[in-house]
Amino acid sequence: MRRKNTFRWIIIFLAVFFALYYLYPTYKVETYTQEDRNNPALVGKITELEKKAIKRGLDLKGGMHLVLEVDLPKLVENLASVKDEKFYQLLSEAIKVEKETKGDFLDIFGKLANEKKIKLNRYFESERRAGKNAIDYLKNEAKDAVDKALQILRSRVNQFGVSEPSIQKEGSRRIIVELPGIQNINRARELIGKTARLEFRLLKDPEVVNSVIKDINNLLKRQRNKAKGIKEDTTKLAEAKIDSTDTTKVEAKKPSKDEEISLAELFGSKEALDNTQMDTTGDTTVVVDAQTFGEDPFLALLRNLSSYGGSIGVPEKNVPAVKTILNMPEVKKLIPKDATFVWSYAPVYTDPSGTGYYELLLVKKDAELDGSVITNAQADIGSGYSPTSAGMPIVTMSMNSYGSRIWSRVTSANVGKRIAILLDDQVYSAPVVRTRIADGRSSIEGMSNMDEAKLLAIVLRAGAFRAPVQIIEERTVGPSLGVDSIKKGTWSAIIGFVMVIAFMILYYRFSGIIANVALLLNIIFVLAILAGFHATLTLPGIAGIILTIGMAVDANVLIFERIREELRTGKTIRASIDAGYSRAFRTILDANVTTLITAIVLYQFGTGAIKGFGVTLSIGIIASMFTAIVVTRVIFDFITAHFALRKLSI
Amino acid sequence: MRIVKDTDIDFIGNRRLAITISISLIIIGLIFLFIHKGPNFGIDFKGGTLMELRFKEPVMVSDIRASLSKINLGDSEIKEFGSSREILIRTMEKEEGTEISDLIKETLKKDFPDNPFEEERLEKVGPKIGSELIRRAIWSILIAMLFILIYISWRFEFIFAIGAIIALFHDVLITLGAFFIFNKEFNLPIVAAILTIVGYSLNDTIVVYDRIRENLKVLRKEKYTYIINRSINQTLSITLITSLTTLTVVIVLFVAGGEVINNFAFALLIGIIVGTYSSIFIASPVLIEWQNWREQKKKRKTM
Repeated sequence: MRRKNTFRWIIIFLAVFFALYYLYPTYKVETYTQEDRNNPALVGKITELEKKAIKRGLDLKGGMHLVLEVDLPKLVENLASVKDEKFYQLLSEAIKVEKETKGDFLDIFGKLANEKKIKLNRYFESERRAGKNAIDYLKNEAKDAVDKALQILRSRVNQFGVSEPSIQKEGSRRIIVELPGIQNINRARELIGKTARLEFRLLKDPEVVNSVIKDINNLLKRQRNKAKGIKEDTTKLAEAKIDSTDTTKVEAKKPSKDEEISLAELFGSKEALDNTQMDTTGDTTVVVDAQTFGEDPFLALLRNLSSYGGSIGVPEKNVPAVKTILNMPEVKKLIPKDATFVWSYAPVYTDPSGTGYYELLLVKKDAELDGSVITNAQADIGSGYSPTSAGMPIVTMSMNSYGSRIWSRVTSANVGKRIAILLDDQVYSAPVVRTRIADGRSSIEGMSNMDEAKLLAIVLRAGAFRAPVQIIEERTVGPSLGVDSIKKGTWSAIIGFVMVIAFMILYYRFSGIIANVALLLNIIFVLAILAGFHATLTLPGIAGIILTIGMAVDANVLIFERIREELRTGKTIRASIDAGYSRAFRTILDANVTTLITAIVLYQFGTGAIKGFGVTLSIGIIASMFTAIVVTRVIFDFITAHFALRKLSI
Repeated sequence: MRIVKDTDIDFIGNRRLAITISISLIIIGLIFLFIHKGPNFGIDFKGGTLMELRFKEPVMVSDIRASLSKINLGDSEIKEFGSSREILIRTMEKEEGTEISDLIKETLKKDFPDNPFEEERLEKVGPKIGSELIRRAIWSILIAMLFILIYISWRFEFIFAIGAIIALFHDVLITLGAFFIFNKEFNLPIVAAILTIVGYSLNDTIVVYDRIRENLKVLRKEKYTYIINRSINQTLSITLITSLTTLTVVIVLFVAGGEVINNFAFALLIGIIVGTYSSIFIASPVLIEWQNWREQKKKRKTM
């Protein structure tokens, strides 16, 4: 008996010693004031200590938590070497089925192809060469795409300079990015979410553009008249060109000709608008040229920006409507197969009344060159050469020798023409080629400030994702809310602790004090284990600790009630204590195991903050088994061995 | 000090009444579920955007609502959160990647130029991840129950495990019912709370079961019903005190833990109370009903 207890005492003292040792850094970190943190002499030491202290979760520290998913349908589309009607149909059907059944996209894609007896090998050239099954090939590519994205994200975040970021793969398709202390949410979102697919594409000739616009205009007019019930008058279909009077309007600021109309008016009727499935959130009016609207519904939405090289401008307000029109299946048919409409990234022109104009460009579908040839990118201030970028932030890029060779050939063959430089399908600049560029240099402009240019340079250097990633979950907590949460959590813990302690003393007298010693040790152990494993403390985690305070004494209640029962049957103090502990032990074990089962399931299920709750609850339960059974027992044994008790205070 | 002296309450005799009360509570919950047209799922499960804004000066919710009505938010909720300076806005996400939050911020900046605000919290969850989480939540609760069933069958008897699981379903259903009645929001922490209830409300049940197991050996000659009733009475003080200490800290969390923890604490509060009740009135009577059923079957066979 005595030897066994000596061993127990040693264990307890060792446990307390290590607990305090692991807790010291956390305690020390907490004692530093904001002033100390700004003191350069202490910064290094504090960072060192913080590495050993309990980590705070994003919900306590403030920061951004993002869950990304690689856009698989887009990846499949990118990988396909042949794309026909059937392929796109299969793709969109697979997307629909995935939404409904929540299955794996690639499996669904393969199954659908099988059902429709479509040979997938036909679409994936490179795969045929490798002799692998198309779906296996796609799965492999998807895995590569996620791994590559992970690598690119690390590089971006490191270059951007976030302290203690965490970038992890979750499952096979997802990536979790945690950025503590981030201030500018939008910038971070850009940094993480940008695909960064850089492309150089030739513009289609102006004659082609004009004829396409004209076709769309006539189609729209026919449709509107049909919706309105006006009988079609084919003779009156406009031989339209973008009216040059528009130009004068923009420049001579005669906004009186413009008027606001509703979207329903634009499409002829409410039903016609609904058919377009346009997102009607926000402002739902468009501005049209009142003079031409009656004749030319599409042209009335556009402006000629002659000052910008005779290009098509679209007032900000009209962009969603124009996008919707360009997306209509019957309109898509009018656009040449080898070309596609793209938009400028930002307004290219702002008229004196403050209206911004986006540029609409028709570019070739196939890129002349892409971002893979870029070896470096730097943010810079534009020099005086170009009127559009002088004094403005730009990003200059250099290419490898392969890229330089092609760039040289492309530029020399297209002097006098415009080449659009696109990033993620948005045109950043579309300069006119003046001369052959042999040194592989190029630059993009259109950024509104230097920070944006720097960010762009980072994403260009880090490289492009194989397929776009979608941000499917985003949680941001401001720093002050975290401080508030900690304050409330700490207070709740203190109040709860005091109330439980008071109750135990009131109810079990001296034995209650012993239980309270165990409870205090329990809390110290929980915190020490968190620190030792460098675990993250979240707000639900704090709730878990508070809950543990209430649960930890349960074991002692069980033991004490049992001892009381044994005493009532007339047993001696020693015998009652022995019987109480041994009889209660089995119950305590069974009861705690069931709670532990759920805490572990919780950890498995949990995301982020909830995991923290599972962790603290599990640790709390295990620690309480030790403190409530072992620690209280040795104290009881010590007392009964050294003092001749006539009555046990319980 | 003793709260509960030696008692001899006929818990088993009143079991029909208890079962009636429990079933009524569950039905009331379901009725409210019907009235509120389904559970009030938060953005974690339904997808959407949640913003918590802290203004410099107090603002009226109605003013915010008027300002935001211009941008067609659709199904949205705008309410005070903690103080009159803090506003919580919850909207449905139209589709993956829609930037509703930017639109809201711009509009409010324009309409409240003299009252700047800080963005305390911004959460966006895509609808895809949301529906996935519902499935995972239900699965994890079922898996936890399965493991508990296995563990209790191993430590006790299979019928004890059945009794425990019935009590668990009872606790979870009534806790959910409380959420339906008050139309409280379901989010991820609530799943954590329910799993905790599943684990913790069993503690009391196990204490009673353990005593039954013990008494079955000691009081072998007594009737089954008597043994069970005796066991419940003997463990009554343990059951009440252990629940009381845990309830104390949960009440503290509920009152002082802050808005974020509030719903979570509410679930625990209901769950612990119901769990204590069910360990006395539900889990043990199941054993009796089982025993009665078996005896009747035996009788029929011998006849």
